[in-house]
Amino acid sequence: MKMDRRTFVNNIAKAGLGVSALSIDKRLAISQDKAKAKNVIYIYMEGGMSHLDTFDPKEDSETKGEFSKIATSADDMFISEHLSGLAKHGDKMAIVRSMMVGTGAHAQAQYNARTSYRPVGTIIHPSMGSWMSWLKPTEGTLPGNVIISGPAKHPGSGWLPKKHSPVPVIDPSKGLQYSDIKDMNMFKSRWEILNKINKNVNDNSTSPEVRAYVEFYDETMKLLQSSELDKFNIANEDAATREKYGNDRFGQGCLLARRLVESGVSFIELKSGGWDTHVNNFESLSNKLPSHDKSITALIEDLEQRGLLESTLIVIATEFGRTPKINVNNGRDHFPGAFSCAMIGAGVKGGEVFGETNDQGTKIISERKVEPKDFNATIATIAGLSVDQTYFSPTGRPFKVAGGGSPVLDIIA
Amino acid sequence: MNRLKTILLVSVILISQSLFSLDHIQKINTRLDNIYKSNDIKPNGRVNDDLYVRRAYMQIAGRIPTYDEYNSFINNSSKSKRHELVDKLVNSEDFVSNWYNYWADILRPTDRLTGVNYLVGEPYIEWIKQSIRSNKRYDIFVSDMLTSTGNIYDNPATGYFWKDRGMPLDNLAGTSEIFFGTDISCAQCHDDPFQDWTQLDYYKFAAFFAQNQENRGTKEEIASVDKIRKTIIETRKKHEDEMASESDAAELDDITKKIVARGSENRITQLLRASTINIQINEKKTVKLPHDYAYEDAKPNDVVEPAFLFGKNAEMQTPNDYRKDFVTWGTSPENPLFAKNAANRFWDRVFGVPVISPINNIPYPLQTIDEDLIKDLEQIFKDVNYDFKQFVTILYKTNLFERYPYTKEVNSDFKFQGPLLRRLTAEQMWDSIATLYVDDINYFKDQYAMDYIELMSADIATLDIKAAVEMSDKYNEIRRSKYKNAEKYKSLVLVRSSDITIPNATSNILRELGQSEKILIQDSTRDGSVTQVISFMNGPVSEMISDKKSKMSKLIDGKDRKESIDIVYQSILQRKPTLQERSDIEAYNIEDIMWALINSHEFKFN
Repeated sequence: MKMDRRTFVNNIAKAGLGVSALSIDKRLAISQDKAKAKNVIYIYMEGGMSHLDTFDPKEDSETKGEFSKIATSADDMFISEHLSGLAKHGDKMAIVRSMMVGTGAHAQAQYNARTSYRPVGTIIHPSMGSWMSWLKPTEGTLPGNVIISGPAKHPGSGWLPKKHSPVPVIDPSKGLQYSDIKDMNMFKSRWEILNKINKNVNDNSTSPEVRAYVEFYDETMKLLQSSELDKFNIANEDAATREKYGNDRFGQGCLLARRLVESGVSFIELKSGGWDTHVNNFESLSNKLPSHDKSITALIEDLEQRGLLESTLIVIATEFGRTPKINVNNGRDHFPGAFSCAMIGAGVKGGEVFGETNDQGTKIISERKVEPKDFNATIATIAGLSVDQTYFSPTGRPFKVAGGGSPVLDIIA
Repeated sequence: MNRLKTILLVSVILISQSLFSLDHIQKINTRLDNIYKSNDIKPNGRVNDDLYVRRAYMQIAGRIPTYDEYNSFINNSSKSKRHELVDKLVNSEDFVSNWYNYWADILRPTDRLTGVNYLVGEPYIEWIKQSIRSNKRYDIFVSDMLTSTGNIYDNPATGYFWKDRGMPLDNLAGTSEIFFGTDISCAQCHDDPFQDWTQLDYYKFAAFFAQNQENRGTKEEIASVDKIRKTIIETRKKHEDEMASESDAAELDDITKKIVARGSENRITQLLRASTINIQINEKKTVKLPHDYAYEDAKPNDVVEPAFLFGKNAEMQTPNDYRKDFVTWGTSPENPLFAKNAANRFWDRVFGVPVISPINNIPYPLQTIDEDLIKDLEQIFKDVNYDFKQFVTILYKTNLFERYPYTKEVNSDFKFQGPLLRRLTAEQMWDSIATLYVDDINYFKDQYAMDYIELMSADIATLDIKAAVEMSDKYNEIRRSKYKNAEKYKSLVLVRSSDITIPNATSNILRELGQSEKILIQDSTRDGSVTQVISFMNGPVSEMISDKKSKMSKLIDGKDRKESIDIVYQSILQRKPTLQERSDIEAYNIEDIMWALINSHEFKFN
């Protein structure tokens, strides 16, 4: 019984912590001067991206591996030779090299990366896109939270209402599943009958659950008929643009992300798999990195050209790093003790490198270690979400957007 | 000994019909009448037969009635036909399916119960269904799980513990929430600021289950698996090269070939280990406070003795298995929460709103819609000796079950004027759709659990390599062929949602419709989502009903338009079209009308 539960939550909130369940206006009543990003493109490298071969290159002969480092457009910022496109945009990019996480297991660390919380048996925490969809609802017909090529296991909206779950696009070149209407005339006549049959319910129902459904059907119908739906269809881009982004799944996903940003989708997660390089790390990364570099660079430049980079934050995240020691299979294993993540675009202090590992890349030597919750607090702050506000789940448990993490202010513009 | 199999073979259906049932029904009717009177409100009126038959099937059988079932009820002239229908439905396989779905949302059985490969949830699933089918007393159903030991196939009730393997404290929080309506999860990490539980209480409670121990198997079994594993590795090394050449490979026997071709020893050894792993009681095992325990009442790492959390404390009688003390106290009629929680939960499932909210955390002092009503229900559940089927039959036969639904927001004005109008659950929705396609919704007989049980009961200690390889082959075969005899539409497997255990296109639809991922207790939702609506409007479900092979299409085959429209309406919405509707839909073709009806709000709510 929702009402009672809400009353219950309000009561305990007042009794215990002096806060109450808030209206949307109050939820947003935070300092907005750092909130530069209207949109977030969260690129997730699933499996654990090797920090040493990407954003934290080393000279040490034991751990360096097969790649060299190159300079970027920012002073004293060096990255892997396979990221030459990104290197041109070092002045817009911030790197955090002192990332660490408490677990070396994929599922737990991925959950932690996406929710800022450790997985527990009694509740599922919302992912960042769902917080954003809940706290900053978008206007217009498109959903506010989309995931491209997402994994089977994703925390989604957690304890938040299901409508804030990311809308999945399984294959970016195919768009939204089942949204392709073959015979629009037939569909319209079906919709006419449906409205006649529903008329009584539509006009007279006082049930909140029914009303919510009526709205869902109306919204979905609007979406299916709207020209905005076209935004999910990357076939509308010319061949040169598609080529510029790279004609693989990830590249096309980046292109779709740009189209969705243009139409106001506020949070887009784009997953890329295959970073769990226990075997032949260098061979697989020498293929992977250039193509990903090409796609992300195209995304940055395209957004910039369209004037959207100043309101769009691009995040490159992963669950942990990989062992500096190269294993017998010429691979690298899981390394939660130190890894790197990056941010580009809106709200980011470009050219900043935060944190440092030792010469071998085996240890963080800078003072502050950055956990996923701190990194997420940084994203949240740039996106204008309060990280201090406490929100209550329907079961009355208190949570914060980034799990109590503190933003890395040094990389916020 | 194979408990489940014995139970299944001796399949005894208990039809419980107590002489006192009528009194109980009357007691609830009178109580509700008093509530209406004292609040000076009028309850909703009695529904017509159309609405009744739809509700009875939806709430008792978990689906809409078929066209034939609908007509046979409508044309029945018996005065007591409504209660006769209840009696028929509570003794049907539909009832088992419907209440299994309820328990599945709570107990969360899945095909992969734990991190242990090949330890599958199907025996547990079958055990839950069989418990409902045989109308196992509710207190025994609960005790069977909470005191279970053994393997998943030997004692499927162990599924209750396997589900939360490695998380005994979360399992305990679940036990408290599910069977005692009390959420103690806060106290797992700190004293609960809003209730009386302390962290120490929580650990005392947990001490009842501290003796649970996972056991890999007997020495002989473990040695046997190790030996088989070694044999596989050696065989592979020895013959790998021969397999590369076709002529050399021809010389090898089948088993050797299979071992080498499979490449890894893991599949076979993991299967054998899943067969030997079990839960045992270790009397000496205890629970200790966490190393960072911060309160004054005890010290970090202190060993904690069991003590009850709610109600009176009692002497421990069974120190060699404290769980038995737990269920003796937990399920006794003196327990203040056991019967109350169950009565409140079952009432909620039937009428859509519990008497006490929230359902998973009964508040103190009690916040009820009516305190006497919950007292009555608790007493009735005790009076019928925790007979689950009899209890819900009583609820299905109350006047309330026959009233028009309550269609406003539930707030303090709500006094059970009628059952709450609710969106169908994911399972009701899918099973209703499937009812419109297949001839007999209960046609599918799943053999997988029984086959698995038989397979895993092999004597591992004496198994040779040949038998081990064959066991692995057989496992793959029974799993692959699970839905071999099921009807399909495109990629959809057309069986009841209660028979969907392995992820597939149908389980994807169920998830979209709000079925729980079975990670958290009662995590299913009736919320809509854009993807759900799109899939209903333009996915395979939208085309399935008008497909030429569907029962719906067969029913109208050769009929004229007027009759066809009546049949379509009666099949999908259990009523004839109104005059207004008849004229509204005149210009449209029948497939489009079917589409509109299954997309209508009327279809999705009950």
